[in-house]
Parts: sequence; C-alpha cells; structure tokens
Amino acid sequence: MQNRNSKTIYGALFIAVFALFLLPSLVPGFDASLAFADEAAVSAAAEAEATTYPPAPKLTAADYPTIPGVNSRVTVWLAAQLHLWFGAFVLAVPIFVFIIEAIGMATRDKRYDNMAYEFIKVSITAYSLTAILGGLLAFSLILFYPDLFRYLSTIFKESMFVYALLFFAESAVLYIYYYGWNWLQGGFKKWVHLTLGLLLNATGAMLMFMANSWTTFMMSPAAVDAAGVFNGDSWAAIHNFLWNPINIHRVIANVAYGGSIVGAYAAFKFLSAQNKDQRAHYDWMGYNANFIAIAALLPLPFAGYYLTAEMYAYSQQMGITLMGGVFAWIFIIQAVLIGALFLSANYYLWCGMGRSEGAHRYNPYMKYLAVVIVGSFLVWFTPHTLVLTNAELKSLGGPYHAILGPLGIMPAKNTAVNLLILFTFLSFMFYRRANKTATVSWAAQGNAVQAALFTAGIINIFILGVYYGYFTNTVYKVAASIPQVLTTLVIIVVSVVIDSFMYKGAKQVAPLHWGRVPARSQYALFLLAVSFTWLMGLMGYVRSGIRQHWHVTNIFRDNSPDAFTPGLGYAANVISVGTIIFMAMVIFVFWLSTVSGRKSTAAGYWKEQGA
Amino acid sequence: MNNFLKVAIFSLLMIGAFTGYSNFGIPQIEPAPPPVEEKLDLGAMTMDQFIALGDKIYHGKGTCTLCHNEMGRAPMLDKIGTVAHERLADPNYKGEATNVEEYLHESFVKPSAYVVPGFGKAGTNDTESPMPDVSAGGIGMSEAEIAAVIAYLQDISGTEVTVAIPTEVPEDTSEEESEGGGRKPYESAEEIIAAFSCGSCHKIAGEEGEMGPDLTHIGALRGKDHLRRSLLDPNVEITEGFMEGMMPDTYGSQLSGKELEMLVEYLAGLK
Amino acid sequence: MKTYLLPFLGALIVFGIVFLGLDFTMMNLQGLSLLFHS
Repeated sequence: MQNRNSKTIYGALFIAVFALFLLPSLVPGFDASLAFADEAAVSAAAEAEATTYPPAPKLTAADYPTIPGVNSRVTVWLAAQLHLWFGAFVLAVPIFVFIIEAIGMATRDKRYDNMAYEFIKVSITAYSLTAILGGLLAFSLILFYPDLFRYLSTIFKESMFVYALLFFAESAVLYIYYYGWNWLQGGFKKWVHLTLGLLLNATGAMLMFMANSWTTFMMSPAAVDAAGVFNGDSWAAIHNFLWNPINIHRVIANVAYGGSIVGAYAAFKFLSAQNKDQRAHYDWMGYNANFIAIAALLPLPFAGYYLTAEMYAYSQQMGITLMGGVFAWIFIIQAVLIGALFLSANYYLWCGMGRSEGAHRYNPYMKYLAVVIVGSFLVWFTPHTLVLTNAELKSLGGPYHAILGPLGIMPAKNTAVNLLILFTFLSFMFYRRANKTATVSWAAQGNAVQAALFTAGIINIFILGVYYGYFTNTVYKVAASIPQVLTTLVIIVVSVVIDSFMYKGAKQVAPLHWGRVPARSQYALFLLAVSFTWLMGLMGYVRSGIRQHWHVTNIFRDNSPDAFTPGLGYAANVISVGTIIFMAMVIFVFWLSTVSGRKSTAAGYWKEQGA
Repeated sequence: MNNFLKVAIFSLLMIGAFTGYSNFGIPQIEPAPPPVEEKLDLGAMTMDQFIALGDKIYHGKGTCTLCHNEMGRAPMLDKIGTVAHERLADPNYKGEATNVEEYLHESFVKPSAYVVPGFGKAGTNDTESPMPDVSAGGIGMSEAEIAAVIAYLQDISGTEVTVAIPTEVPEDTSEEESEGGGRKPYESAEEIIAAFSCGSCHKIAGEEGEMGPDLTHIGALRGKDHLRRSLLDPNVEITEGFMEGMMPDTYGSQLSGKELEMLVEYLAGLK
Repeated sequence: MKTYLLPFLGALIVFGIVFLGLDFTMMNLQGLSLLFHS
C-alpha cells in the first residue's frame, strides 16, 4: 500500500518537474536564460517575425452569437468574477499555509502544522471549482465573444498554451503537497514538503501573472499598432503598462481575501463546535486568519494607489474617468465597505480581549477607542453631494448641508481614515498587551513616551487635515495628505519598536483562554468575508468598466448590444447575485471538507465477509 | 442548522445593505452610451448650427471638458482664439502651423507639437503632452467634427470663425455605424423632458419646479443659441436670482444631436 | 505622577519637533512651503 502510494507520488513529481522545465523552451519571448533549447527559441522568434498578424476586426452586433434567454455579458461577468473569487482564495491559502508551516517548523509547535493542514484541506475542493469556473469563462468567451477570443488568442497563443500545460505542474504539486502531508514529516522530508509548498506558490503565481497579462492587455494594450496589428513581440504584449501594478495588487489582496474566507470558515466551525477543545481550536484559527487578513489589508491602499497612478500615466483620460468621471461614486461605496471592514476588525479585537485575564486593565480605554473609530467611520462615510428631491433642495438651500457638507470633502476623509488606521492599530496593541505584564524598570516612562507619541501624532494629523484642508488651496490640500499618512506610519513603527523593548521578558498574566469569546464576535468575521467579497466584485466592475465600449482600449471596439457601460445600481445588483452564488459555493466547499471525515455504519447492508 | 440559517440571514442582510446603498444611497449616474457615428447633414447647416455641433462635440464625444476645466489639468480654452497667436510666436513652438486654425488643428492631432509650459507629462520637461490624438482610437473624431470644434473654439474666444463647413462628409474608415447603444432614441421633446425630470426644477410641461427659471414662455425671452448653450453648458450664463452649479452639465453627452435640436426647437416655441 | 508627567512632556516636545520636521520636509519635497501663501 505504502509502496504504491509513493510510486504514484514520485510519478506525479516527475511530471511536475518535467512540465516546469519544458515550458520555457516553448515560449520564444521568455528570458533566454530560462530556455533550455536556445535554438528552438531563436527559430521560433524568427518564425514569429515572418508571420503577419491581422488588425483588430470591426464588428457589428451580428458578430456576437447569442443564446435565447442568456445575457452574454452578465454570463461572462459572473463567470469571470466567480473564477476570480475562487482563484484568489486558492492562491492565497498556499501563501499563508507556507508561512504557517514554516513557523511550525521553527517553533516545533505541532498546532501550527495541524492548522496549516486544515487550511489546505479546505482549499482542495475550491481548487477544482476554480478550474471549472475558468473553463466556464473560457467557454463563455468562445461562445459569446468569438472574435475577441480569436484576436487575443492569436496574440497570446504561446502563453495560453503554456498556461494550460502549467496546470499539470500546479495540480501535481498541490496533490503531492496535500496527500503527502502526513507522509513527508520530520527532518529532511519536512524540508522537502516545505519546498513543495514553495513550488506550489511559484506555479500558482505564474498562472495568475499570465492570466493577468491578458486582462491588462485589454486595458492597456502593447505591442500592437493603432489598427491592432500585433508586432510579434509576445513578451512586450505580456508586460504591458498595467501588468505589474495588477500583479502586485492581486498578490497582496489575495492574501487579505484568503485570510478573510478562512476566518469565515473558522467562525462557522466555532459556532457549531461541540466541546471546549473544538471552540478553543477554531477560536485560535479565526484569530490567526483575521490577523493575516488585516495585516495584508494595511499595505493594500498603497498597491491600489500605484495601480491608479499607472493607469493615469498610461492614459490621462482613463485615469480621470476612473476617479473623477462616472466611476467616481464607486469609490464612495468602496470607502463605505472599507470602513465596514475596519469596524468589524476592531470589534473582533475588542471581543477577543476577553480571552485574557489581564484585559480588564484596558477596559476604561475601550469606549474612547470605540467613539473615535465609529466617529471616524461616520466622517469617512459622509457624502459631499447629497441625493435630494426638489423640495429638500429648497429647504436645505442648496445641494450641500451647511454643517455636514465640509465633512464630505477629502481633507476630512483623509483625517478620518488616518485615525481609523491608527486606532485600529491601537486596538491591536491593547490586545497584545492585555495578556502581558511588563517587567522592565522603565515601564511607566515607556508608557508615557507612547502616550506622547500618539498625542503629538494625532495633533499633527488634525492640523494637517484642518489647516491645509480648509484654510489653504487645492495644491496644499492634496500635498498635505502625504505627511499625514506618513505620520500614521511613523507612529505605528515607533510604537511597535518601543513596545518590543518594553515587553522583553514580560510575564504572561495567564494562558489565553482560547474559546472564551462571545458568539457575536464570529459575526464580525462573517462581515469581513462578505464585505471583502462584495468589495472585490465592485472593483472588478470598475476594472472592466473602465474600458467602457472597448474590448481592447482604443484598438478593438465593442459593438455588441451590451456594449453600454452599466450604471452603478445595475452593477451592484449583478455583484450581489454573484456574491450570493459564491457564498453558496463556498459553503458547499466547507461542508465537503467536513463530509470526508464522516462515516456511517450501514448495519446489515453488506454481505457477511470472511470464513 | 440553526447556526447556518443565522449566518445565512446575516450575510444576506449585509449584501442587501450594500445593494440598497448602491441603488438608493448614491446618485444613479448613467454613463454615456457608446458613441454612435452620426450622419452629419453638413450641406444643410448654417455656421451657427456648425458651431453648435462643435459645442456638442466639445462637451460630449470629444471628452474635452474632462481635462480642459478649472481643475488645472489642461489649459483653459475660453480665450484660445486670441492666445493662439502668442503660442505661435513662442520660440519653443516647434510645429508647422501658420495661423490660428492650423494651430488648433495641429493641437488636436499632434498635441506634443507644442506643450503649454507646466502642462506636460511629469518628468518630460514639457516636451510631451498628456493629450491624446483626438482623431484616433478612443475619441475618434472625424475631420468634419474636428472642424466643428475649431469653429466652436474660435467662436467662444470672440474671434473670427475662419473654418469652412466641409462640403462632403469624408469617408470615415475608423468606425462603422454601431448598433449598440443601450437606449432607444427619444421621439419627442416631451419625452425628453419627462425622462430627465426637467419639471423637478423648472416650470415646464405642467410641472412646477422652482429651483430654476420658469420655462413656460421661455421662447419669447431667449433665443435658440442661449437655449442650446443652457442645455450644454449651464454655468456659462446664470439667470439673475438663481444659483450656479445646480443644473447638470451632462446633457450634451446624454442626448444625440437630433434630440438636442428637438428640445431646443420645442423650448423656442414656448412663447 | 512625576515618573509619568515629565517623560510625557519631554517626549511630547521631541515628537512634536519630529513631526514638524516631517511636515516641513514633505511639503518642501512637493515644492511647497509649510505655511500657506498663495
């Protein structure tokens, strides 16, 4: 039995390695140092130059096949979005499983290893669903947008072929990694296992980067002329303007998202736990998942900022339409969703304080934190332009509220979000401190310094927001947001440093009571997962919608009956339907991971064995 | 099961909240439909109508106002007819235009020929313009449309309009007539007035809006040029006693040329 | 009390200067002065 399994596994390992090394030689445009067959690469490149490529076709509505009762655009939209949600999840899980497994190896604490194993178990079914949805997406494109698919596959034929082959590697590595978990334990074998985890991440990332290039090509085409004629340079088409910004953004966002989905899994298992041990286990899992999600959430705005800046650099028009034109309101909704994420993250932390015996020391401060965080959220959320009826306009005397209007503009929002980030960090700091008693002699002074750091920083944030925001001009107003956010970062970094020194050798008040949290804290984790999902759907709408009536921006016009850019309400409805479908599928995935452990004894069903 | 139901209901409520907010909590701005190649009946146009066409393109298909506004991203064009002379005389001018009309045309198709100081792409020291070639891809203005916008720009600067109305619509090979659009054309001015709820701010067609001027006899008070201007760029001239920045300025991109003219005719007839 | 108040005030001044310096540097790097003048 053992022998047969290991033979299968070695065989799969061979295929994986074979696939990985075969691929570079097939792609002429790849970095030559990777290619085994240099000659093959050179002749392939020469062949590419000799081929003439067609211009982008000019389509009419008749060129778009339809199936009665099926809305082509919504089908592709939902297939793509569902594929992305699942894809994000299955790419994220290996990242933190790798990290958790490594931590387990470093601390020799088997709980980490067990948790990593449980995470990867959850994602196995999700993996096949990702592939199914990818297939649905590909079929939908072929069926409903055949000319577009032909155009893109002509340009990207090599990378699309490699993409398909790479799934052999991805599947092989994933299955060995998962099925071989208990086999590859201890010493050298554990290192092999960890390396497989690394390989899994590398293959997964490569798959995502390739698919990203096709989508970003549609937004910011490269290696094609104004008529859409491809010049043969595959690599140039792949690393178009928006490729790297999307790559970075998606890697970070995937981690945040994956953490939130696993958190929801842990939350549900916590609520249905049968005994104290199970509650403790799932509470611990939820906490770790939440930590991962929030930690990855913090650098995300910068990745998003980079993406938008590159969009502006590629095409001012595209950038302005995104932030100042019809899509501007989307970012208000995004703001609301992010505010909800922060609220739930903080609420979860506050509920979690109850795990510690020493938390009561911080109870008096919690209400102030709550006031600031909720207040900041409300300011963050306050719109500038109001939706008013005629009568309301009259009674208000204008489109802006006299008192709340000034809170609706960017300086107020920037101030609010900086406070939101800062006080969320403070919540986390209190949580970490709750279970420790400092033993250094200068603890009181250290606290004084911390308090001064926060006081000075918060005053600075307010001055930057209020003075430059309301008493200077637009240029100063915008410029002040940079030192404002740097202030927040400085406070966080310096505070962490001070605390790390202050709590060196600190005494633990008592072991944490994992499982001692109210049930409502788990709903904060659900809120996180649902909000994240919906937010991703919203951003997907923006990313695709920014192309407006183009299949490939400025090159290949969309002339289908559904070419119109949908309004926000319509988009929200589609996103919500997608979110519900996704949640249903995820529940199915979670349920499956519990089913495999179940056994039913069917008395009297099977024939009597033996003798 | 109980837990499952509670979680499911909680999730559905949240999704409902986001959907509700997106549908009812924020203004529902309908993005402009994909631009349709319009058949221009140039032979029958007067210069005024040609300038009006330029006005409509400037505020609509040309997407000019996206950048050429007070936010400082691109130079203001309200005096371009007079300013152009200075640009041509600038030692940094490297283009081939010899008069205002040629300068404007060159700015449309080769914007980097001359970059107004301070408006170049970051890091290019004002040698590269962020403005796209309007005759290509994304905006895809035809020669006739470019000529119309030049006429409009000369007109608003108060200078002489030197552009001649093209006698033929040139073969436009960049786009075919697209059937996609997203909505049926409006059949009457009343339909437009109802669709855009003009009556919520104006007294018109039986409604009693009070935020904007009374339009019941507007045809007797204002000429067609003013009416057209008020629809395309309402803030250019605000009637005494009313507030600036209240009337939407998106009608230029939301109505086709025919629909706009239909509405103007209707309003002019309200005597 | 004294063990807390003095370090607090001292650190407040130090951090105040740090943040002022941060503001000054970042505004200057963007070509602007600390205090507004049109």
